[in-house]
Amino acid sequence: MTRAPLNISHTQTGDVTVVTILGDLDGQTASEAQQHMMPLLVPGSKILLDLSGVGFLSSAGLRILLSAYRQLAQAGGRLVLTGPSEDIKDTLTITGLLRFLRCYDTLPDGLAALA
Amino acid sequence: MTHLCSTASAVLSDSLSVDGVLSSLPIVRDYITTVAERASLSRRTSYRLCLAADEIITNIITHGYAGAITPGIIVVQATHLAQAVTVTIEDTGAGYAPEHDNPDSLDLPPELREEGGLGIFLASRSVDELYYEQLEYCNRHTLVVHCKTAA
Repeated sequence: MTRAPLNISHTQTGDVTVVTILGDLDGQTASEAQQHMMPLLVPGSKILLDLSGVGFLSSAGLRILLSAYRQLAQAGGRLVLTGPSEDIKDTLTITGLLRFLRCYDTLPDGLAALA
Repeated sequence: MTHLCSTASAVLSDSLSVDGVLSSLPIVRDYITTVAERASLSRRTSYRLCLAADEIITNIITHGYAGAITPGIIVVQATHLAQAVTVTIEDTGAGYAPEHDNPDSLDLPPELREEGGLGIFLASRSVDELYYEQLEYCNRHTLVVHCKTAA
């Protein structure tokens, strides 16, 4: 099986930055995702992280989510996750993060939460 | 087949030998996915087995083989015995004492948590059994999922 490389992009929808990740977030790719996201985490920013294209998320990927959440929380920004698979929701639940991270099934729901 | 320690029987696939580098992670996940399909594990159990193996191997690469001049080797072997699928992961890096206990920070909000510490915890919660042994010539992690709970 050949895996597609990680693809991460972002678009602006009103005052929300929608970050779309396609691929697996693991120990190899997490740093690339973090490098892409870091410049977006400016004070007061609203970030929607679309995980619907993420097939696998390890603890290395979780660190990216935690780092983004912390940085935004300290700077008056907000982070919302959308579209995680059931497997990724399991991981967020086991680690206790689903109680704290705002997570929605669909992109429109996530955008509405940030409105 | 390549083994760093003793051989196993009732194999689901030839063993997989990879360099101890992070680019090996998707190769191991593909291997685990294939053997999980052969064992008729559910998709969810297959994912969790992949997650556990990924966390263990990431730990080996970033800690056990940290500072190695040339990448060490990691050997993965899956077997299907009775009611369980067993995956062994062997390496020759520095040994360590894995902590399976809940990290203290699980009830804390993200802004109060310390970095890291979730990998081995996630691995231990993703399989039915997880063992670690330091043998004479290698370290061995053994991951077990029970087929009767995997339907």
